[in-house]
Amino acid sequence: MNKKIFFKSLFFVILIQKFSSVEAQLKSLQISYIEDFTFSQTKDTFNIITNNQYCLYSNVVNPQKKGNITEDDIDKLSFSVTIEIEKYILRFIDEPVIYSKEYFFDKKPIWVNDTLNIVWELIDETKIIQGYTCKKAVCNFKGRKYIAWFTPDIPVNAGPWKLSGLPGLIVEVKDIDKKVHFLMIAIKEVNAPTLDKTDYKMLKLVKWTDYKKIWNSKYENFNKFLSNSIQKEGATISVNTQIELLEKSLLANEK
Amino acid sequence: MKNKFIFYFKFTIITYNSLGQSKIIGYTKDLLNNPIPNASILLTDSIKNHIVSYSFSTNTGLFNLVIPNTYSKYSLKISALGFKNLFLNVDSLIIINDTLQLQLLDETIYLKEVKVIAKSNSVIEKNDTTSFIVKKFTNGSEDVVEDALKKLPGIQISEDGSISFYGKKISKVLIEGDDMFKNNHRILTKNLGANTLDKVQIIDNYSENSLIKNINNSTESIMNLTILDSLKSKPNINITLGLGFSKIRDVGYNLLNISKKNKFFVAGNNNNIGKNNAQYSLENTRYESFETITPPINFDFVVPNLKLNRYNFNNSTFNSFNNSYSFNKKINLKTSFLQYNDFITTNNQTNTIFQLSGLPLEINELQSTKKKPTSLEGQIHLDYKVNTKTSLIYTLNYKYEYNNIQQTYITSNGDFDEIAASRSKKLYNVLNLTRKLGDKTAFTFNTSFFDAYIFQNYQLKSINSNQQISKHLSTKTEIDAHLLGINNRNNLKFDINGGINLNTDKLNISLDTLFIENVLLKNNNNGYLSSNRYFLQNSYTYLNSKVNITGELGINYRSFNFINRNKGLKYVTSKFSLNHKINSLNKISFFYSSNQNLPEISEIYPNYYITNYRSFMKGGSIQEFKNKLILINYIYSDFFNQKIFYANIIGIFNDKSFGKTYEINNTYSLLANTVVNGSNNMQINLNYSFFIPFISSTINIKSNVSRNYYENSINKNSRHNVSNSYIPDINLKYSHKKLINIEIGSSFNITKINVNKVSSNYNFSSTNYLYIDAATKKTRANIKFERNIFDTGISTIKNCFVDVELIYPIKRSKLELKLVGKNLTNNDLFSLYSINDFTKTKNQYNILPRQILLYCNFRLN
Repeated sequence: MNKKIFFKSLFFVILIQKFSSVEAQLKSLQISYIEDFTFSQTKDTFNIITNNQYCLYSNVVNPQKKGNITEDDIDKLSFSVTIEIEKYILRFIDEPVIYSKEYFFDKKPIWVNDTLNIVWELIDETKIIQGYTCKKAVCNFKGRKYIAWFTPDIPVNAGPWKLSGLPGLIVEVKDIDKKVHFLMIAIKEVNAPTLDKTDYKMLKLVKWTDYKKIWNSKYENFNKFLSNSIQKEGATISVNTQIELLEKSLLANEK
Repeated sequence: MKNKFIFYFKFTIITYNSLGQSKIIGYTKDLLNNPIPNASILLTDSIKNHIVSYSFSTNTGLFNLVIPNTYSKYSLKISALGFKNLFLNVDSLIIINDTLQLQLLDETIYLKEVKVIAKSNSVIEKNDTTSFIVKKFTNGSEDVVEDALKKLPGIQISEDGSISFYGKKISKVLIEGDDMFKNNHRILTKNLGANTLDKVQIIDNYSENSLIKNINNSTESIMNLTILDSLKSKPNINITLGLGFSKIRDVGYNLLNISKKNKFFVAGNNNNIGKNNAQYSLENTRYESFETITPPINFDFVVPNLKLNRYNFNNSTFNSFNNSYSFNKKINLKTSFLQYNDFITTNNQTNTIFQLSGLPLEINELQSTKKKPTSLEGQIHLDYKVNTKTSLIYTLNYKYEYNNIQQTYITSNGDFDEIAASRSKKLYNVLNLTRKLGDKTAFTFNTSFFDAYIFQNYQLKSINSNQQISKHLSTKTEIDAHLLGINNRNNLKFDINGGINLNTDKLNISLDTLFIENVLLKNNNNGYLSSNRYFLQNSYTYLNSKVNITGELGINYRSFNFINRNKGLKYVTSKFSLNHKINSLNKISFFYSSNQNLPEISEIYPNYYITNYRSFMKGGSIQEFKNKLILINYIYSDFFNQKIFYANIIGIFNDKSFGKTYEINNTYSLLANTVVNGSNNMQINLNYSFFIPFISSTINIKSNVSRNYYENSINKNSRHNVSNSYIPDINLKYSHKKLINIEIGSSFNITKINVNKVSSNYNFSSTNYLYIDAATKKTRANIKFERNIFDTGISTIKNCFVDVELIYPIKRSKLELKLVGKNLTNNDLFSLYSINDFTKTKNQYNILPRQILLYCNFRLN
């Protein structure tokens, strides 16, 4: 068996055991968002689960749950995952570190840990979004400038994707170029299992700075590969692929 | 001290003069002195009313917060999930040298339920469930649930009330998760008011038995209706009184009560305006496998392509009582009762031209029919959860039907009178035992017994007198056991099952003919068919987040005995299905099955019996027929951008089948079944709807293409027939702030039949319609125009209908007046052409005259 697959399987077995235990359920909030990225023309919905221990962002649904299920069932069981998760960003509340699965044009994930240091500037503006009174905050994060609207009425340090650190739930976020948009669409109370931080420490984790290096070297190789492919066809055109990422700062030439 | 909440606080403000800032340090704790991590601590300037600084507590509940050293009034808000907010006023000049200890009170109710807010979320898709928020799609002009369902994307309702979602049949409609109506959901969807609905959920892969819902591999899709919270736990009564000139009426009531322990729905209606709220006819039974058991003479006629309430001269009454009562968490009892009776009259004139070489035959009939059907049905369904691992389900259903029919024909060959009295009793028993053998395996044992008795006394009077009495006794016993399981590690489900089906059918038909010369000819024939099937099947399903593959293989042994002919044979059946969720928008599925069927006794009955005043029929030799079914389904659903597309291809292939062998002459026709090469049927259905923002309209385009191949023989000429039909449909819906709704559309039907590769018959029909619905703050008006055109290439028939509806609520949601005008152009006849491979028929039906009714709807809750 491939070593990576083995560790991956091991991790998920541990994860399943953790999630499938009936005990130690945490009172949590499940918040659903729509993410709309015009730069990649993708639109999707995802959930975050937040409680006193962690904040987890995931787009995972459980394929094995069948039958007459209530929405509560779905939410509880969205944890008992036996498949490869496509998007996964986890932050334990007591440390400014996120554990996330990152990709490079394929489905093989790299587990990355990154220290979050979002400096928010609070702006004295109020707006009602989705029925909640929200306050404005702005920040620069991973190469984009974001305008966020958060509500102190829901006192959780949580938001979509990797965005967090405001004294209330982030209800809506847009970047100033209008290419990224997150909007909360639903919220409900759920029970979620506790997570063990040591399980994540066991993973083969790559630091964000190292991941950036790996990514850029892969990207360079990818460009070279494209150039080569074209040259083999007899043409002499130089290749300069245009790429835009959610995290602009991932590119070597971006800060 | 014990439960008394006390909180005390002292401030420590340590001044850092160099930064010009102060700091608050403190702990957040609950009543038991446990730390509250991740609490939000917010400092607001009380004068300027803006956030000055904020912080979160750590795992130990510790927090520290910076306070600017400028003088102002501050307010400290401490809030955490599951706790009440705590507010403190802070004066920055007071310095107390201690750590702040903050105790927060529990707040158990935080957010009760899903709060769906976003406009785009009128549809929520989660795993196997698609939920529609009903009010996002409706505008208040909908009377009953069915009217609201018609407006939901992807859902289609046929004229008889059956529901499909993306072309797939919805087998049941549940209310608040309870299956009170079994297969006859029309009681609910045709009677319950649309304004009671909160959500409509479509649940795929539904399993009725909660013990095995994660283990078994169901492909059933059902609908669950949820009721507005404000209507729960108290009875909701709706009374409708509709009266018009010439004694026309539409009077109905329904009562819905949803509480934790008890749910009931009582409904009834009496009308003579053509509506069938029970949608209950003698051909429509709750148990599909027994639908084929009908008396020899059914008096069917070609149903016009019109709404039922245009041509159905009726006087129908129905009452239905449905109840679900949970004694405790273990025992649930469902009872239902349905009574239906009707008096239906039909008058139609037909002109049938036989297109057979050497037989220039044309029949003109003036047919007048009176039907008086009565039906009584009762059901008990007991669900007993013995313990967490065992459940027992028992269902008992009894149905009694009676139908009295008188029919008069005036034809070019003379006048005929027919009288038929049919009576049937059907009893159905099912017992299901389920035992979980662990978390991942379960065992189920099912036994069912069906017993039916159908009697018909038919008399035909012309020059001679005929009496045909048929008695059909049918029993079916089924016993099967399943071992079900799931292996989480490799995502594999299995179902190993075996069982026995024991069927017996006794059909006795006696036919006496009294000739005008007083000569009596007596015929008495018996048919007896018994068949036993023993089977063992294995089904395996592999599933992950995107793919679901099922393979099933069955080994069968069937022995049958038909009028002292014994035969036994072994055969293999197989099924294969693949469901692939390509991404969040695209899904594709494929289904294949191969099976063998034994014909029904009426299809092999060895002697002639009367089926109509000029037709006689007999069955063919007993034979097993192999058939294959292929189904491909593709769905693209992008609710956010309001684009939905689905397509399905269905192919049914029979290697052999019964072909009709006709002997037709001027006075009567004989029909017998003979085995011919297989028939086959191919169908392609396309459906695309999309929203065009600049005209605020949704366009729906549908298309059905089908090809049907079958063989028959007429007067010893064998014929290979191909019937091709093409049914396109286009529809545009425009809505402006729900105040003006316009729907305009056209549907067409083009049918062409080739016999032995030579074009034989052609038929074209079209329906154009325009519906306008306009509302002011109080009043709402609906106007409907419909135009039907039938064309056979030789002549054309046109009909035009206008209906108007005015709704005026006197007290919103309590009392409403409605003025309804139907068929205002007062058509009295509706004409259409119908074709088959050897006849072309012009049918003219009497249709219900102009109706004007004043309705009064009361709602009490």
